[in-house]
Amino acid sequence: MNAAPDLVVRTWTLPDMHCAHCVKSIENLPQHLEGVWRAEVNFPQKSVRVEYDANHVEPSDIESLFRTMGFPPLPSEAPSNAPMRALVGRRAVAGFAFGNVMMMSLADYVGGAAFLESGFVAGFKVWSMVLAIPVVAYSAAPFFRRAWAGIRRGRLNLDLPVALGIVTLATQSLTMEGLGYFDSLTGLVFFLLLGQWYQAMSHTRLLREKGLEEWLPLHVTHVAKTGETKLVPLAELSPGMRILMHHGEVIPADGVLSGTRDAILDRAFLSGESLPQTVGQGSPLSAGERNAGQALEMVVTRRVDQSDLMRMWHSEAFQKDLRSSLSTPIDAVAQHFTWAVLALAALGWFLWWPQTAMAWNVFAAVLIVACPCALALSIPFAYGATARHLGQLGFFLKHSEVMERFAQIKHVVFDKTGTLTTSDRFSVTWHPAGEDDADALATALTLSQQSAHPISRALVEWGKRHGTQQELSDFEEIHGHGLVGRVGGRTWALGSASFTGSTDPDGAPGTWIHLTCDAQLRGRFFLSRPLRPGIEHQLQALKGAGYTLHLLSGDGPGEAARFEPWFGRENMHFRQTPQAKMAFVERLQDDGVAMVGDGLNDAGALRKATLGVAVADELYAFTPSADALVDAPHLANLAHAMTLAKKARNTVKVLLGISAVYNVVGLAFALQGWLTPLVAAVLMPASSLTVVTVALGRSRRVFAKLTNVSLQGHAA
Amino acid sequence: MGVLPLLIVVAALVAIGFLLGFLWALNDGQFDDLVTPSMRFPQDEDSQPS
Repeated sequence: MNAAPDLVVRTWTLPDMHCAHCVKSIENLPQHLEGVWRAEVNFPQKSVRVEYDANHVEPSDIESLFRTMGFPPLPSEAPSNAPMRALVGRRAVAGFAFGNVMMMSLADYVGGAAFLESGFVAGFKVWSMVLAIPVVAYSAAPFFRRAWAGIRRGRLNLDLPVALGIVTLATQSLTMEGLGYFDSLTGLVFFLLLGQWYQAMSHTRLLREKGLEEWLPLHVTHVAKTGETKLVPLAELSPGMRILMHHGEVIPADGVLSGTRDAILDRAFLSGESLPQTVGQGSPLSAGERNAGQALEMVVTRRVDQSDLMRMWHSEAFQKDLRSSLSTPIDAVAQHFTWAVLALAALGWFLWWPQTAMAWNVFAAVLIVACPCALALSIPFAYGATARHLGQLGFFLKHSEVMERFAQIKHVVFDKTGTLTTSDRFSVTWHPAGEDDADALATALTLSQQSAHPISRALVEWGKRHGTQQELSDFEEIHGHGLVGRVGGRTWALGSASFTGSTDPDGAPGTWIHLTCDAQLRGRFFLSRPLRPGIEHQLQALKGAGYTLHLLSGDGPGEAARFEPWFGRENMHFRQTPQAKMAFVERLQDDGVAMVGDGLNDAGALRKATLGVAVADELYAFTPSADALVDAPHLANLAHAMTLAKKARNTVKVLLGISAVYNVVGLAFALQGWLTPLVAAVLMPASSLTVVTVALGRSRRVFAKLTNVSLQGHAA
Repeated sequence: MGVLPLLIVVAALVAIGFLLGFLWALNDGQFDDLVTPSMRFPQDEDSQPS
């Protein structure tokens, strides 16, 4: 007997889907798992919506299956489609009305006297009026709402003159002879909505507000007192529970290392340290650290939402947006625009004053012609086009207004680990003590092969081309310090300075690995994280462009010399806590500071910066909230992106000029009482078309010039 | 003169009908995702059970 199915719908994000085949595999989920009824993929959002019977299937079963298929899942919320649908609906109604009204107006413009005598005028006018009603009441509603909001706040925006124009067009059309201005009315609303659509399309949804929860695993392995293991969701973790963390997993809650083995932890996300640390039994473990060694067992001491990580993330300083809102050049214009228009309209009224009827017509005509259609299209198309080009360079902005900030930057602050350097590989150099010592090298590699420590593995990886295996006996690994063994009757030690009894050159601990034979130094290895490709060129270009560069790192000062050419000793700061980074950036706020970082240790600084750029190795996974997101391999395009954004501002100024020209021409007609519906119907589309063409054309030209200039050394 | 106004009215009604149809489809969610359906075509087996 079957219980009635308990149908549940849940959404997951699967960042790794990349093709039609993936879509098909995922949507075939019902065939692989009993109890799953339906799986529907949304490819642009990289999400899947699953309907399943909760009586038969647990969410963790589905997640495990996704993982097996090669699509590790992230938690996700089903986004609401209502706002987008409303926008489409408004556009559809406006476009429908515009098309029909325009057809009827053409009869008027082309037919002239014959049309006026035909008896259709009244009917067409009624039909135009009927079509215009939903356009004003529904399609244009957001403009009225925003205009009103602007008035209430005392900050006038461009929606106010638009609203005024719409109202004037409507009232004039109703009271005048002939078909009226309904074609310009519906056209105006339609064009403005098209502009908003273009702008929205140019920005991807990669920068939705992401919770820190997406960085943590969905489930962890709980070890019961009986020893049996079970997957439990994070919400069920409570103090005292014993959990098992596998290699590569991120620790979700604060706790203490139990068991007898040492553990190797990667703290780069939390603190920016580039090399993994070894800790012993009983050491405290923090949420956010990644297990870089073998599976470890720990006892949870605090709930997931009580960890230091969570509390820092939710703290006031990290959340509040303390940046002053900067205004666009359009905003500056908008403030005065309405007053200027009203003043001009009043002027027109006075010019015609003795003839009252004409005076009011001219008053209305000025309001109509000054309606900033072209002006309001400038930003969506100029910034929208630039946003698309930035996307091609690997940069994604949260919204158009972010582009304004690029022009105000004087300082650029970089995080080191994970931002300037990659976080997955090591680069190794071998410095023999005497002449080139192949023998010693081979021994070092032999020792390393016996250890699972990330540093040992890095040496083995590097050493594949060098050295051969040797006979090894009495091998021992002293966790956190080094390896020791006997080869050819002699005792060799490989490890830190203190372990081997050697010294670090220029006092830079942690990155040198020493090799001694019978306590005599035979050579050293220098380990570091390699710079991302193209970064040197990048830093040079930024320096050349006049920016002051700063380096903030949670790591030790071992690599100071490497970065000195671009930053200068006084602009590099090491061992920075997340709070210290935040304070540093805040001090530079007034001058305009851009922060480029990844990881939690940069989250506060990213928020305080005038422009926060988050570097992401994987675009759909968690990155701290910022104004812009850059795909890690494309960080080398930073200088180009900044130039592109700055030039977009210039484009907007050019477009303001073009709009002004059209306004002047229109005013000339209006003030003389010549602004017939025909003139309006020609001027508005003409100005809009000019603005759009110039916006798109200029953006494309600037982009083409930038990307053609340097084809060398940049990841495309 | 009589048939032309009638035709215009009928044409207007038909056009309105199409607009309403579009708005219905919009509300039904048919325009929410225009990308994924195009990726679903190469399927040889039967479609998934619903």
